[in-house]
Formats: sequence, structure tokens, C-alpha cells
Amino acid sequence: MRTTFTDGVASRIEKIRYLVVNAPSVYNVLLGRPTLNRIGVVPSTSHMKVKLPSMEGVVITIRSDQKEAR
Amino acid sequence: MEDPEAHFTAFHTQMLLVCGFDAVRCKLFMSTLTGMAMDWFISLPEGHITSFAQLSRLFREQYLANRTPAPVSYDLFDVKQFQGETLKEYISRFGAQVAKVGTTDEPMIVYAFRKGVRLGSFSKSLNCSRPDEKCTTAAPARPRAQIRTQPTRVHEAATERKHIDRKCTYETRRTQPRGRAEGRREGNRPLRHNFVVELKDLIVVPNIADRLRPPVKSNKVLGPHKESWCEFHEAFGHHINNCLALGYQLDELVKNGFLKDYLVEKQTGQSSSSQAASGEGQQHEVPIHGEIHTIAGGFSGSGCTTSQRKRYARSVMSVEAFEDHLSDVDITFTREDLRDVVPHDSDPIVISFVTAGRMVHRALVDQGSSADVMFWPTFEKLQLSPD
Repeated sequence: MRTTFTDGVASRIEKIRYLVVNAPSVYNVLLGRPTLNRIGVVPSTSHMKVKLPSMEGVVITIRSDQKEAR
Repeated sequence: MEDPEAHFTAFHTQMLLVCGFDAVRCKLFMSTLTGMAMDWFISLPEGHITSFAQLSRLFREQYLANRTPAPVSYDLFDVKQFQGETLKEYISRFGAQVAKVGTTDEPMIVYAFRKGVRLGSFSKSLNCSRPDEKCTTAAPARPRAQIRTQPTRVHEAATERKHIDRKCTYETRRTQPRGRAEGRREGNRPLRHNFVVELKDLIVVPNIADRLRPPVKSNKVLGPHKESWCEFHEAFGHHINNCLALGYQLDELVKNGFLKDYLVEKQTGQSSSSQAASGEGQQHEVPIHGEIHTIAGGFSGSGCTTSQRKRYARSVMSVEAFEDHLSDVDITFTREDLRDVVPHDSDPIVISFVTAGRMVHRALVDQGSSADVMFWPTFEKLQLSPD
């Protein structure tokens, strides 16, 4: 499934194979290690941010929504 | 209403003076009653009382509930030393209770005494001398006996105990890990560095003497060796080479690099480098007491069969042309990134992204998951064909 990561400035489109699970969860999607490693996502829990390089070599910064996380 | 037994005892002692007959006693007894008891007495039917024995039986039955329970030996455990109560006061109080209870169970009395004493140097000394049964039993028992026989000697007993106290705290000091300054080192002995000069000469070098914190001077013997002189403490008791306080301070100075010129270099070449390495490591080294492994489990991302796992291991081991379009970008987190973050303890990273033309919120970046998971309700909402 084509997924777009964007921070409004740069974006990156990746194909991700999801495992669809019929289970109740507070989250819609869990992004696991396969994707994180493949596209080089660097998460930092203290900064509450995820950074990943775009195809053009620009760093995309995605902020974590703390309000939604709770 | 007070305890009926106590009332009777008081009444009987008064009656000894009067030595009245049964009828007189009944009449007089009435005069001692007040309040509720008087009402009770009035409510008795007329001509009902025939003897004092009957009256006292009725009286006892009526006020049975007011009787204080007979003291049992376990009450001793309730006698606790109050805050601010001196040992002398406590001992006399304890002795009074022992007399009241009238128990002869020596070990239990000793135990109750130990329980009752407030935490402090005295109770510590009692505990420290526990292995020596005789001393423990004798110490509380002796003053107690003195209280019974000669109250004036209590003070003597107290001072005697103080003496025991002092003796025991010294033992405590020796066996237990050091308190105060030494405590933060968790009882580690200081490192013995080899200096080019004698320690006693080293500590008078002005540059070093300034950095050492001089100990409190006293003319006590500070240690078990009465003939050894410690130049640092300026006291007898231990040799300066065995002086702990000096050892710690020198240790600190060596770590900070002040004593470089005085340290003896190790002769062999290999050890000097290893010394530097170990010196480096020592600051960060955390003692490891054991390792905890799991018995079952492990990484299951490769598959559930052995061949799948082997294939995965092979693919990990083999050197493949790694797609390194990532390598030319440095990803850094700066203070700038920290600025718009609400302080948190354990908030997970939850991001939003666009997939299949729809914005998906609440996507957890889960480094613990070995698969990318989408939940069924989300999948349904994306309105995709289920294949």
C-alpha cells in the first residue's frame, strides 16, 4: 500500500506491506521495524519526533502528536 | 464509673479503720457511691440486701464491664520509650510494668525491652551485641533488678549501660560499613596508589596540603594499633598507610590528576597502557553481579520454521549491495527539536501519514514490532478490496 510521509515541505512515498489484524486497538497502524529500517526512520522518544530522509536527500521531520498519543 | 475492684479495694482499706459489722458496711458502702452507681443502688428493691457479700456480688455483676483486664505478660510489649523520654525514665516505667505483670520469663522480658527502646545508638548497641547472648540478657536484666530493690541505684545502672553502649558502638563501627563520608563509597576500600615519596611527606607538600581536608583533631586513639602514629589525624591508633580518610581524599586527588607527579609509574610497558585504560574504565564501570538471560523466545521475524530462520540468518550474514541512499544524509536531533515538546515521561511516538488517499492518524512508531500492522477497522475505513 502506498504510504506518504510528509511534513509539509518534503515528502516520501513508500510501499508498505501491512499485516491486517482483526483486533481492537487504540491505534490505527503500528509501524514496525521492517518499515522503519527500510526507509531509515530515526525516532526519538524524548524529542517526540521522527526523522527520515526523503528521496531527494532532505530530512523529513514528523512531529508526534502528544495529545493524540494519550 | 471506675473499676469495681479498685473501688472495693479502696473501700476495704477504709473499713479496716472502722471495722464495722455487715450492716454498717452496707450502709457505708452506699455513701461511697456517686452518680450512676447511686442510681443503681436506689433502684434495688427494698429489703433486698441481706448481707455485704450479696451486695458486693451484685455490685461486681453490674459493673463487670468496667473491670480492667488483668495484665498479661504480653503487655510488656506495649511499654515503648517515648520521644524525649530518657533511658532512666523508660527503665523505671518498664520495671514498674514488669512488677505489675509479675512474669518471670526472662528472655521475653529482654525481648520486650529491646522492642521498646527507641531507635538510637543504644538500641543499635543492643542489637549489635546480639550474638553474645549473655551480654544481651544481662544488660537489661541488671538495671531492672536494681529498680526493684534499690531505686536510687537506677542512675548508676543507666551510666553503666551508657558504658556498654559506648563499647558496643565501637564494635558496630568496625563491623558495619562506614557511615557518613565513607558510606557513599559502599564500603569500598580506597585504592592504594604507590607514591614516590612517603605518605607523611606527601601530605605536608604545600600544594597538596591545601587540597586535603584536615580531619577533626582529637586526642583519642583512632584504631586498634595503639603504637602506630597517623600523621594525618595526628593521633595514635593506626599507621598513616592504613588511614582510610586520607586514602579516600588522595584517591579523589589522583582521579582529578593533581598527584600525577608523585605517582609511581608502572615498570612494564604493557601495564602502563592497561592502567590508563582501567583508570578510564573505572569511572564508568558498574559492577555486574550476574546476567539474566531468557530461556525461551527470541527474534521471530524471520519465520517459524528452522529453514526459514536459517535463510534469514544467511541473508543477514551475506554482504549484499546495500541500498545506501540514506548514508549521504545526517539525521540529527537538536535542542531546536526539543522546543515544542510538552514535557512527558512515557509518551509514545504517534504520527499521521497519508495512505490510499486518506489521512491516517494514530500510527504508532513501534520499534518493538517486527511487522507493520494495520488493524481491521482501519482497513475497512480505507475502503479497499480485501485482497
